[in-house]
Amino acid sequence: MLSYIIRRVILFIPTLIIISFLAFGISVLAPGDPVERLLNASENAGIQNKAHQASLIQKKRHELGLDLPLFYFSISTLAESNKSNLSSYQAWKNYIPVIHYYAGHNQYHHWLYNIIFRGSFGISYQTQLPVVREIKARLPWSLALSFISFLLAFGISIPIGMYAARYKGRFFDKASSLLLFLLYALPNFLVATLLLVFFANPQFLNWFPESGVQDALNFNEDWPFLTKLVHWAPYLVLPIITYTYGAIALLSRQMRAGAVEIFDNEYIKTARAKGLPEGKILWKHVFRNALMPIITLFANIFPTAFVGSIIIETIFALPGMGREIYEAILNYDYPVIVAVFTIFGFLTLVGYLVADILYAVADPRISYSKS
Amino acid sequence: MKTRGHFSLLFFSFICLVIICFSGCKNIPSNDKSSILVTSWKSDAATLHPVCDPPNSARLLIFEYTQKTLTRTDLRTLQQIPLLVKGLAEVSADGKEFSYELRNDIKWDDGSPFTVDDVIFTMKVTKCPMTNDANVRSTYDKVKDIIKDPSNPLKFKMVAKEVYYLNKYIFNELYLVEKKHWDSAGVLDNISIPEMDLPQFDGNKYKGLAEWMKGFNDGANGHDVKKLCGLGAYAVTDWKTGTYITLTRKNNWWGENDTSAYSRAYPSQIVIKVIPDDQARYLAILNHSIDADVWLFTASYLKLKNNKDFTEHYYDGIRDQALFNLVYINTKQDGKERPKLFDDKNVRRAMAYLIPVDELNTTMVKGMGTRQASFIQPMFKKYYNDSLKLIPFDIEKAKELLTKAGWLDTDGDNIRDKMIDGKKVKFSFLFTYNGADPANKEYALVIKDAMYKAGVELIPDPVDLSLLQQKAGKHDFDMLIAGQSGSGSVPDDPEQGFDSKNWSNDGSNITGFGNAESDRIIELSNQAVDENKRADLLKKLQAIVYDEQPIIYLYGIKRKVVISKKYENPGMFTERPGVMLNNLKLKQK
Repeated sequence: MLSYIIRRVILFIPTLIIISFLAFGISVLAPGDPVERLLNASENAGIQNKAHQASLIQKKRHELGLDLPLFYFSISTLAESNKSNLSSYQAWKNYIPVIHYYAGHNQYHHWLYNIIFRGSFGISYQTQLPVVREIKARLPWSLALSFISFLLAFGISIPIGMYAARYKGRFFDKASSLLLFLLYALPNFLVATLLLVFFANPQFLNWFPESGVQDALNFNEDWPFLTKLVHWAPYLVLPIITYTYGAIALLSRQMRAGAVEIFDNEYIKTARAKGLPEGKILWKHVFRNALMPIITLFANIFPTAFVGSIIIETIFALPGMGREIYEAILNYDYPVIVAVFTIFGFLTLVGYLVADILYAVADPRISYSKS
Repeated sequence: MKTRGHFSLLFFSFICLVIICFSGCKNIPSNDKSSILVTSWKSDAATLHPVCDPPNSARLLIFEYTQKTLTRTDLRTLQQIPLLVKGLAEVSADGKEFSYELRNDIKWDDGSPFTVDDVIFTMKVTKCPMTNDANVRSTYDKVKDIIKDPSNPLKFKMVAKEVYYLNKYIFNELYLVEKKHWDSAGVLDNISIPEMDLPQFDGNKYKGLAEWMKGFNDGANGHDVKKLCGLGAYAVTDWKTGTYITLTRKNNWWGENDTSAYSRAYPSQIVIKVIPDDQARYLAILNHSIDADVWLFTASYLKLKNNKDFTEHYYDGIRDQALFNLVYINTKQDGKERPKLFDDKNVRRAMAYLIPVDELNTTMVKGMGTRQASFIQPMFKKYYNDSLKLIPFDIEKAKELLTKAGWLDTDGDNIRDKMIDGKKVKFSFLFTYNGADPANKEYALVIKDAMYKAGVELIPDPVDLSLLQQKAGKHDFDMLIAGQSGSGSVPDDPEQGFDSKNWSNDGSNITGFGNAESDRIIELSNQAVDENKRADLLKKLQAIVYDEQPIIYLYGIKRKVVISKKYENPGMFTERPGVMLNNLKLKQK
């Protein structure tokens, strides 16, 4: 198993390079220009008010290193290469490819070099702060919400799924199926808005605050963590419900489907015939063998927790990664976009590795050793 | 059964969690710290650097209370008033020199007096090509130099390169920074303002400049609250990214005894909550958890108006603001990629008749928009040409004009066509808009329906905002809808949008409007220091633009302001930020 893990970790490196290359390529080739966006960053600058000359854009582009070639090499035609020499223009030159090599003077190289040797993802165009600092400020909220939500989702959906499978076709199974399908069909922006309207509204139930994560007037940085936790809790209830309900629906259905299949197996019947208690059959034999699809879903926890949710964070005014990513995309903040893509890719790889290990733990028949 | 035991355990855990949350709920205090005022803003500030990019509306709001300018627009009268100077500028006979005298009672937070050197330093650092402030630097292009008065250390004059009507407002938005705080070694002393304007300016020639600039431009200067200092009554004391920013009233502030409304600082703290969502903002007002707001959508505002609790606890009002919607027409389509549909002014006028502006006003902003016939909003009474009649929605009139221009439906497919350069061209075009704003789609669909009735095919073309700007700059569009904003105190310079040279150089004249006469009027109006003369010229220009119809003006968007009735002085204003939070005084119980 250990050698398998080491091999997988080594394989991370080329995969990550490909991920970073793709992320970088997609983000810089997307329509729109970060410099033009930056020079029109004022929310109050209309089209007519953009008194910005080409030279200004050029300077900014140079300052940000966006005037460099994208990659180590580029391919053009001989005609394009000799553009300046118009007298020598000949049609055949359009058919001769020319490769230009830029050594380390390209955007991708600078970006990769800074990550590997300086641990830096660059400076955000918008906030002018290191991207790592930006992510550090936002990440804890997204992680906290996601992990609590996943914990709740797994904690609630697994018993529901198992119970529904155990009593397949009975009232609980039918009722939970109906309810879960309904939940699954509801879009999260609608649920978020409804929760606000019903539970943060003095005209209905004013149980929770309507936005933010803490009270600006009373929150004290010096409080013990538990006090802070109690302070934050009511702010997080509605976002967590919004985060969780969809996952509960999906996981319960997956769990039920997996468990129903196991219940039909001969070895379950044998276990029952042997007189094993129903609880033991359910949790030791059925649950363990029905876990595979759940483990597959579990692999997505890490990347999903990292990126948060744009819609939920916007509606509840949460300072998480979702809003950060949304603003970065809106403003063509390449350093943030590429960093997020790359970390997301890395976490996806980690998730799949963890899932593979868990497969082996859950099912002894799965082995990664060569023998 | 054990299964039930597990299930019960989980259920019990969940209930415990809910109880913890509710126990937390009880800890949520209402906004009972009475001298703390809470407002909301739709976005966080990207940076609070006093000079560097990028500016945004949240930063402007915060700078209202943490920074000061030499002069400003009085929100109540929309006239320019002095703040840190004894009076408005004395202008020289040639209109190029503006003399000021600083007040002698102004001090920085460290106790140092505010001097002319600070003004010069601020202008230098703003104009320096090495400063990361490309967004605002061009505003100060017309400043040639600032010269100290040798006989009076409080006096100086700003010398402009040319006569320009906005020169006298040049210090309205220049937030002063302290030379001693930023440049105690005097690195910028070795460089003059005119040197910074030279095309061959090379910062590396000046000893220590590049290094100093690196430090000045550092993003941390715009985020570390300890580094944020200004002449305003408040200082930023807490900034929770994406959540809220707290401003706290300074002790022993220089303006404590000043009686000006802009020097009052009644709230001990101003908390600016970041609330991007309109529904959450609406609920925050219903919950009384914010005291003042200017970002409500029209529908939410009208809903609140019908709420008894709201009317009991909040003042509210709607105010004009320098923000309106408009539809640009590309009058100079290339004839290749884009057929020349709009080169005839009859066609452009027909398009104006085909946009149901009143219906859009009713549907989109519940009739609260103010229609306008030209590029100057009616709230600028002195400058607005009220002889121009609003163009009504009139399909028959539009059909008549299109027929007159040679556009007929020759093949019976209900889309008009015309032979152009020997080719049959259908009257079908792209209507480009920012797809991120769902309201734009509504505009496109309503206008599409109306146009189809006159045999014109509009194809909605949603694009990203940045792409929209790119397309507009390169004249790569047929028709596009956008918003425009500006100053609420004085109409914007029409040169950017209407001078013909700004079309040929891919500038901001995106429609292709302009001729020798309109260019001359623009030049004269920009040089007209006399407001009446300028108003006459701008009215002439409006008439020409109206006749040519390169742009169809829809309506101005109102600002919806709410202020808690806990406060006195609930001023609501046209100009940004719409309220004077510093002037809201808690009523005596």
